[in-house]
Formats: sequence, structure tokens, C-alpha cells
Amino acid sequence: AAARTHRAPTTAPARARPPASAQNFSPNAAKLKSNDQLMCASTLNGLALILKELSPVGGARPMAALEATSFTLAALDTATGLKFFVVAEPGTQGLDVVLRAAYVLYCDYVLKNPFYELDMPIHCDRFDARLGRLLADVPR
Amino acid sequence: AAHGRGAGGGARARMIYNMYIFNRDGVCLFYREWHRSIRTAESNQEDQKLMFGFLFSLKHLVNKFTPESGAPGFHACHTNKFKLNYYETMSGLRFVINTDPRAADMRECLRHIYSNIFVEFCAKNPLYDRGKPLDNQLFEQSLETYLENHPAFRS
Repeated sequence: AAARTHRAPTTAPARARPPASAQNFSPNAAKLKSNDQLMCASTLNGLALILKELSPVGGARPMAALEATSFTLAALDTATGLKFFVVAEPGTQGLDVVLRAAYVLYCDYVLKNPFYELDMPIHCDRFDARLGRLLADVPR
Repeated sequence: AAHGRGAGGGARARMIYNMYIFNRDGVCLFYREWHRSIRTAESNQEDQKLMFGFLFSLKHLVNKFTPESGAPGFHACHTNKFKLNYYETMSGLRFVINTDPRAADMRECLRHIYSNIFVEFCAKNPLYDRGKPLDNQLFEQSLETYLENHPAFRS
């Protein structure tokens, strides 16, 4: 079965923007309508911060990973307040590397695109194509 | 005795920080800490309410992301500094243990705490009052003994 991923980068909580991009890469992914995607992304953002507040030790960053019975979720918070997260089959390794690579793709194909407006939904074919290739190659 | 462990500082791998037990209504039945260096909430009660609220919302979020054919539920989430291990029983009891992020899978440990310690010393105790925090010496002693001897936590 293909690696099942669903991905959505969102901006920092202070601005609370809807996801710039949310895509399903597998037929097994949970089917979420765009309104649900928005809600899930915001909820996840909030919960990631609450987990940081619940930390018994100092220096914690927001939630980086969530392991569930039928999926695993990994998140990346960038220094600029962007958030990437990916939902994959349980036991998938190396998702943090995948997220970093996705961030690089975002910088190259989206941010450097002169026609892209910050915080708007991403509609860049090349970004989608490269992202698709990156996720198809994730080791099981 | 448990509090003095690991006081040497430096690398403290596979350590347990604290533990919560909630019932299905959100009452915190049990809370114990072994190593806790910061406290963001004003009181233990606030902290427990925040934890329960967090678990409640996270459970709903996990349901949203679970594919149609998949089994519901989650067992862990982590940050760079700690890992939250979770076990929920069919009756709605929620067991949470916060550990070092490098700790091994705690599912079996939590299941053992429920089935062999909680059920034996609390549920089967005729004086057990369901809605109230636990006040049971035998339970606490068995729990301490079990955790101190657990291979993952001998520091």
C-alpha cells in the first residue's frame, strides 16, 4: 500500500490563518472536507501548544509527534512561525526528515515564486509535483 | 526514596516525570510526580483540568484523522523534552504517564498498572468510591514498587 499522507502547513497561531495547503496522497487517508481541514489544523495547533504548557520539564517545544493506533502524525514548527504536519501509516519512520524536505520545497517553489502572495492558498503545480514525488519515496 | 534518584544531574535517560489517572467525568483520581522541574499552572488542580481538557480534545482530533477502516485511539504524543503516554480503558478511565522522550513504549506498562494494580487494589476494594480521588495505601505502594522496578526506569 502506498504511504498514506495528508499534509497541511498553517501559519502561526497569532494570525490564525486557514491552511495554505492540505492534500491527501492516498485513498486510505481520512476524508475531510475543507471546513474540517481548517478546524483540524487549528485544533492541532492549539493542542500542540497546550502540550508544551503541560510539560513537567523546562524548554519544551510544541508537539512534534502523535502516535495513534491507525496513524502517526509528525509536525514541524519553523523559526518563522510556519507549521507543517503530515499524517502517515503507523510505524512510518523518518517523518521529521520528510517534513524538513517539504519545508525546503516550500521555500524553493512557493516562497521564491514572485506570484505567490504570503498566507494565501498555494496553487503551484511544480510544488505539488515535487511534493508528490517526495512523499511517494517515503520509506515504509 | 524515589525523589532522590537521579539527583546527580547530567544524562537522565528513560525517566518518569509524573502520572495522572482520570475517570470518565474528568475527576483526577490520582496524581503523583517523581521529577517535575517546572509548573506552568497555578495549582495542581488547574494542571489536572488542563491535562484532562487536552486529552479530551486530542481524542476528538484523533477520531477526525483516523481513516474509516482504522481503529480509533492514540497511545502517545511527544515534544522534544517529554513524552506523554496514554491508556484509556473501556470504562473511560484514563492513565497518563509523562516520561523522558527516549523511553520505550509504555503501553504494556500502563495496561499492567490498570489490570494488575488499579483493578486489584482499587476496583475490587469494597470501600472504593468511584467519583472520588483515590486514597489507597496498597495501591500507591504497589504502583511505586512496580515503577521503581520497571526496567525502563531504573536510573
